[in-house]
Amino acid sequence: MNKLICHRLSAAICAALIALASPALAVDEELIILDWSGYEDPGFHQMYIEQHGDSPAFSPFGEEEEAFQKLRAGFKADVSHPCSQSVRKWYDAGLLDPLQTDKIAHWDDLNKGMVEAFKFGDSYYAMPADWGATAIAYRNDLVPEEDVQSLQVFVDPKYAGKTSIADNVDDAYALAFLATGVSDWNMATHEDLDRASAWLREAHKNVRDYWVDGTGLAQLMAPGEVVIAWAWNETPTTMNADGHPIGYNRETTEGSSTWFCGYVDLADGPNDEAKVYDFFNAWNDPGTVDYLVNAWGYGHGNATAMSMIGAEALESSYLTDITSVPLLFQGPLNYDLREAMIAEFEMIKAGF
Amino acid sequence: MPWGRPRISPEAASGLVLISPTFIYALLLLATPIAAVVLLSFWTQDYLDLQRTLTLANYQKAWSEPIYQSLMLRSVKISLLVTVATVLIGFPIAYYIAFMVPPRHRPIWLFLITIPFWTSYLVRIFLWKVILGYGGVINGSLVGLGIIEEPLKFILYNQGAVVLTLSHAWLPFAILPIFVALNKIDRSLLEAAEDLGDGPVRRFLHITLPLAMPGIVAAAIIVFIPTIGDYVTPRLVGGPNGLMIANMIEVQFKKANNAPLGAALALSAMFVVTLISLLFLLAVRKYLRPNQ
Amino acid sequence: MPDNDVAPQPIIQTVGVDKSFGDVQALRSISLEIEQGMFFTLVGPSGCGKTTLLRVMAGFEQPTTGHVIIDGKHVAGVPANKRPTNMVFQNYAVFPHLNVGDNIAYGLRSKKMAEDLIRRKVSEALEMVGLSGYEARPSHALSGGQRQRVALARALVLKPKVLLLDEPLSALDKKLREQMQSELRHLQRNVGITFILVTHDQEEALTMSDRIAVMFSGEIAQVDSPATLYQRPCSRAVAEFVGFMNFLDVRKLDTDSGRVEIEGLGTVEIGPRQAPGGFDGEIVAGVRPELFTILFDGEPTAERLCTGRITELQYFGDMTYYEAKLDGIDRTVTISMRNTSGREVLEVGAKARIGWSPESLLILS
Repeated sequence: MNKLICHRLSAAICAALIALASPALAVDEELIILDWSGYEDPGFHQMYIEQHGDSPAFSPFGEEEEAFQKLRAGFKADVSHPCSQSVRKWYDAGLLDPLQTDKIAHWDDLNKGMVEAFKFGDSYYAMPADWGATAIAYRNDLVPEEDVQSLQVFVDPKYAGKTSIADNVDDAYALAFLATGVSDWNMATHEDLDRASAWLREAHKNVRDYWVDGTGLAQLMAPGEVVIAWAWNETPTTMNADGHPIGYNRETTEGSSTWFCGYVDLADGPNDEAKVYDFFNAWNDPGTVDYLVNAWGYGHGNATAMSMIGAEALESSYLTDITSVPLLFQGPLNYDLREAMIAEFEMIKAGF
Repeated sequence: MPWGRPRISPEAASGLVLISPTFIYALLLLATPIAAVVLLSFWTQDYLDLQRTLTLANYQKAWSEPIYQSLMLRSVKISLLVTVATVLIGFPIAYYIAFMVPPRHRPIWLFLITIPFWTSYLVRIFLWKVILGYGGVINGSLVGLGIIEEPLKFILYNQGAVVLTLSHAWLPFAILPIFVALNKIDRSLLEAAEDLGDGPVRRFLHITLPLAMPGIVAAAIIVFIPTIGDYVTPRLVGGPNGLMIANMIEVQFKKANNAPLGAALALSAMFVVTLISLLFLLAVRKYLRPNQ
Repeated sequence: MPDNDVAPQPIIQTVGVDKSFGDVQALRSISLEIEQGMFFTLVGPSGCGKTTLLRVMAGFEQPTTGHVIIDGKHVAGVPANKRPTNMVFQNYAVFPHLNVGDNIAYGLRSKKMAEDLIRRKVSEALEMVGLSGYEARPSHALSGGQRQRVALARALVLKPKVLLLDEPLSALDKKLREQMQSELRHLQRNVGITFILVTHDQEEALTMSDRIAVMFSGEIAQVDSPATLYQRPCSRAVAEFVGFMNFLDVRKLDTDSGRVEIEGLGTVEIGPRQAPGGFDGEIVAGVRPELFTILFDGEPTAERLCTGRITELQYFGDMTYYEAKLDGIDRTVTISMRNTSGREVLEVGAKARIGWSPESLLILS
């Protein structure tokens, strides 16, 4: 599980370290993947290695906006890995080519909800790849189970200075919308946003620190400095593996959330399109699904392969299907609303 | 001279030739980016595109919205506290090295002062997290000794922690110029003051301190200007209330996708820093006159 | 070495002062008495301890053993700022961040004197050193001589019992130095304050002082008036240091009768005053250059005569310095002659009759 040190949200530092440490990580200089630092793990593209003898070239990033601006500034890559919220923006900026779905193996096995989220006009623009849950992680030795049955625990004065929320606008607003009764943010209005923001302002008063990456959150929770966190499912898995008493509840009254990301075919990619699809297919391979779930604790977009993983593995990674409570699916959002969310979230974090 | 003076003397011409590579280098690497940032600050961001109509809207925002005002004020406050702390802590150390340490041991002392630079700044920040943290060295010791029952929370993730970490990081930059200024003071001036009737305190206030002033001013400026733009430290030890203006600039350039506002904030911060530095220099100018 | 004729109260006195810096002994049992109102000079080669002695008096150094008495009071442990002494430093130590007026007012302000009184005193002090109206002048705009005067005024304005001057003239050029020498002397007479001057320049010591202490390697060799010091040096080292002296070997010595045979000069009888150190040790005979006379035709003869040949000469206008090799021995002596009217200047190679008197001889060791 050490791989989790670098992942979706980890700071640019990590990307920079990797960029410095491994300038010539991959020998196949043909296909260039602009990816989250950490995703160069060969376990994710074994089939590609078998086909081409080596990994493609990876160029790491730490934040989506960093990748976006790099591409707009003229960086040439073939494939990238934005998350649900950004795909629309990248599409609007003309960075994406439509996917030729017939060239993608297991296309029909992919999670329908996620696939449709990436459909603009008549074409699909991203292949769902990895996903995870965001829910309440708590110190089950210090917090009674009944306290974490509702998301309102984040505004409970009892936990002042003992909570942490992701330093990530989507996860934070997923929490705030759920807590204020919105479980599909595509239906959210600006009034809903205002209510969510007001709730988040309340929650801010309890926040010890906004966590940036899993390691940082683990450091806050291990000594009991933070006892309740709005966290990804990797946190309880990794921390339990290290022997820390961490519980995870995705089934609070108000529900919990899931995030997902996908691989895109970048327009004007310098290299052979066929290799792009080889890379996609390698990701969709059931072997990769197995590796992603077991070694990284993330879910995979290949729903069929996920269902074959076995309930026990999914349960221990907190990736089971949730039907009992609302599930806020962090699908692409109207950009107007999202910009307002970003601005509000920065204000809230700064105490305004 | 009947034929008139040449416009540029040969010495001046060769001087110009000598400095021109440096000048061009500075122009390309300093002036050009700043000019670009200035231009950017007068544009606006419209989702994916930059609107190139010149406008003051970003500056209006930067100077009128409470969040930016407050972050700017907080940054100035933190930087000033760091400056005061480094100078107050650095001065006695510099004084000790300049006046108490025998001259042959001084290089060793100066060398020891620079040891913190051997480790990466990030490592040092994380060390402070370890020291100040909830389960950290201070709390661990205090709890272990039974002095407190619950670990103290107010020592990390706040402005105080930012001030402490920055002060530690910038202390050598304060010690060195103050040491140089103190070391330059002619010892006979101090003896003269004593001879004329001064006790140690009056001598310090009337001779040592004014003569060390150029070093103190240099230290203050060296510490104040960069710390106001620091964003790693507040991000890592500042917690929710310890963020500074540079963090907001970063947010504008990245997450908030509003580079023009980020540029306006950056230039506003530059303006504030310049203004405060100039006011400070103006206030202490009488100590900066040429010496013997 | 107290003077016996009149005995005014010594203003400053050192009793058996020793000072060591680690292994280095800078002062060895220095006992001195300096009378009120005197211009006293400590002279010696560099490293002889004269500055250390001055600093012990000022209170910047504490003696290892022995003690200092100023104006009848023991000052052991009294810091420099509490002593009735003031110092003029070698580099003047004019405060660079203060103007002339504030420099001079510094000590008065330290004593918390009223501002209007300070202003008057500063202006008087400036007048005394010839810098009237210089109050507002920044100190970095002063010349070397002006700094010197500011330093003097700054110390004298405090009316110290003793003014200590640490080589104050060594940084000035020759002409300015000579001017300042006479100014200092005048100033001392006018203010009546005891001056103790440290210098390595014996000529400066002779021209300025009432009394001079000659120091060698941490010890006092002789304390006397300039004339006595010159005429009756107590040792060969003092004689060599103060002015110039010719030295001739003593060939035979009869201690009982005081008869000595000196190379090139013959046998003479020496009175007790002519051998201040007695006849012990390695003794030589010393004659000042002006006590030899070259006898020109028609001039009266001298008490004793010898002959020689001029090997070199230096002409100074009023004086001529000759080097003459004495017949019969392998040694040259220096002879100084005043160029009185009509007296010719001998040329190199000329034969000379040289006159001298047995009373002018000193036996030194």
